[in-house]
Amino acid sequence: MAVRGYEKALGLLRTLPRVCLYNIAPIPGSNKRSKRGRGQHGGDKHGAGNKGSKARQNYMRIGYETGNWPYYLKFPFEPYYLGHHLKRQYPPLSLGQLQLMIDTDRINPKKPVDLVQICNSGLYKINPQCKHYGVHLTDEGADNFTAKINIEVQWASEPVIAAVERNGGTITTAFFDPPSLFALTNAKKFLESGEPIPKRMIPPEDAISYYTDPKMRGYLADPDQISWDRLVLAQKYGYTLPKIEEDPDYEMLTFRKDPRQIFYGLEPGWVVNLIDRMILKPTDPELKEYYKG
Amino acid sequence: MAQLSCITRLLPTTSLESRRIFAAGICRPSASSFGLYRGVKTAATPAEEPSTEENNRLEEEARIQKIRDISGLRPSHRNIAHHIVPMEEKTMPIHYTVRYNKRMFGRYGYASGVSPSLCWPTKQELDDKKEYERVAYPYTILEVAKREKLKKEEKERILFERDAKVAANVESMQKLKEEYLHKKEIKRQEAEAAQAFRTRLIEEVRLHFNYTVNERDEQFKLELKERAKQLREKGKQEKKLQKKEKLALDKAARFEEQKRRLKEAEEAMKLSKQSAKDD
Repeated sequence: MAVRGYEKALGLLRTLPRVCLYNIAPIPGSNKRSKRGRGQHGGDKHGAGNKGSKARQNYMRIGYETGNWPYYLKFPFEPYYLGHHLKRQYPPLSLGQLQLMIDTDRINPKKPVDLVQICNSGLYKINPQCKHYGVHLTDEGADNFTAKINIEVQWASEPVIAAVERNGGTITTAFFDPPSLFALTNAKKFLESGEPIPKRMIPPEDAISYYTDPKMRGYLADPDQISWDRLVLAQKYGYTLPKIEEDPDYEMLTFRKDPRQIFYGLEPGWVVNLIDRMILKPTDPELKEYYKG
Repeated sequence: MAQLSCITRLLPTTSLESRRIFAAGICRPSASSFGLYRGVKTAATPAEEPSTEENNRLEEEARIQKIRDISGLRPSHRNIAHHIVPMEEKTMPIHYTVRYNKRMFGRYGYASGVSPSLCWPTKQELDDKKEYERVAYPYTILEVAKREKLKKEEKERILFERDAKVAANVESMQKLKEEYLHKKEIKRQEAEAAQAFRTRLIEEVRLHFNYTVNERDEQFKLELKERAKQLREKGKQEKKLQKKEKLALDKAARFEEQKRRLKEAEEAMKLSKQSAKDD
């Protein structure tokens, strides 16, 4: 097919570069010389001053204090920092902030709240690569906390538990290992990777006593013991415990994850495809067994 | 130099940028040989050959679409922007990786043409995973809890034992303290006595010389030694005498005792004889 004249002209126009950042000439003098000038062009000392380490470009090593006993060697042992870089961190989220999220519809209290909901609110961020292991729900704003929710956090103190349960809500403290945390903190990205949902691994030894403690509402604690401790806590803090058995949202409030489960309603081993709106489950018995336990 | 580089950028034939535009746009050099059309999504070839009219219409449509597309994006990038699989042809090594294909399935579903069976680990990968878990998590939750409990108990036991030890030590501390103070007192007394002995000696020597003598004087020192020796001997003799006296006294006491016993025996005999007579 013959190319018509105006089309050719249009095509030529298209090929001609437009004015953009890439074809504007730089302002004269904005480009610095990469070479050391000689003589009148910035010669002499080349901006390095007269004598000394700067002129000779032989700087002292970092921490060296010209003959002093250096600071970094002065205090040889600081036991309170032992293993500091390996400690688990739980970035805080206050009850006041949580209430605000609920009031501004960033979190739906009608459904169980976990790390996915909190991260998806866009108001709370954690980075599992920085040893962040989830939410630490703090008691700031506990007096004004009025929401009735079923929340799952990674760390909570006694007054926080009391504040949640006083309103007829329930709270669970659950541990997630870093791979699970990657999936939880950015669920969309994880599901788009096409990976099967991993299974949650057991907590490390130094955290097991917390997550098996019914007083801390650990996810590995005995449920009967937890219901007993709910009553004890209500007496300690002086409030009447609302009966969740008679609550219309009983199902929602008592909805819990399996200790191996990461997402509510999704089992480990499943592949979720968002574009086809499809859940794919493994059929191989060996795979099934692996993801089960 | 800066000006020059700007000029080169303006020349469409010499810059890579312009080549991209050529590739996507109007002037089509031999495409396959150029290797720049790798991302173009090829339309599925129909099973039957369409009629020439239909073919012409499609061609025209394609031509118009090309003109309409003024984004200047590469086909693959344009596809990504429109949520279509970026490229169907595999050209880069990464396109053959499992990870990439998994991701294609995750993002574009069945339209990506990737089999979802790729998403799960293979037998070998599964074995590796299992082995990793066996090493990283050797204990079950119950076992870990038990171990932790034992550790805690052991810690508490050590603390308790130490407390008990401290309590026991505190109890015996008063006695030890008294003992120590007593020892200290004795030492002090001894030192005092020694000092007194020395001052006495010095005083005596001074009296002997009848004038104040320098303590560092050799003669004085000799005299002092002599005196000390004499005093010590004197002391020894005194001790000996005392011992002797004590022995004598003991002997006398024993003699007295014997005498008394004999007397008692005689009296007893007498009494028995008399009683016999009386009977």
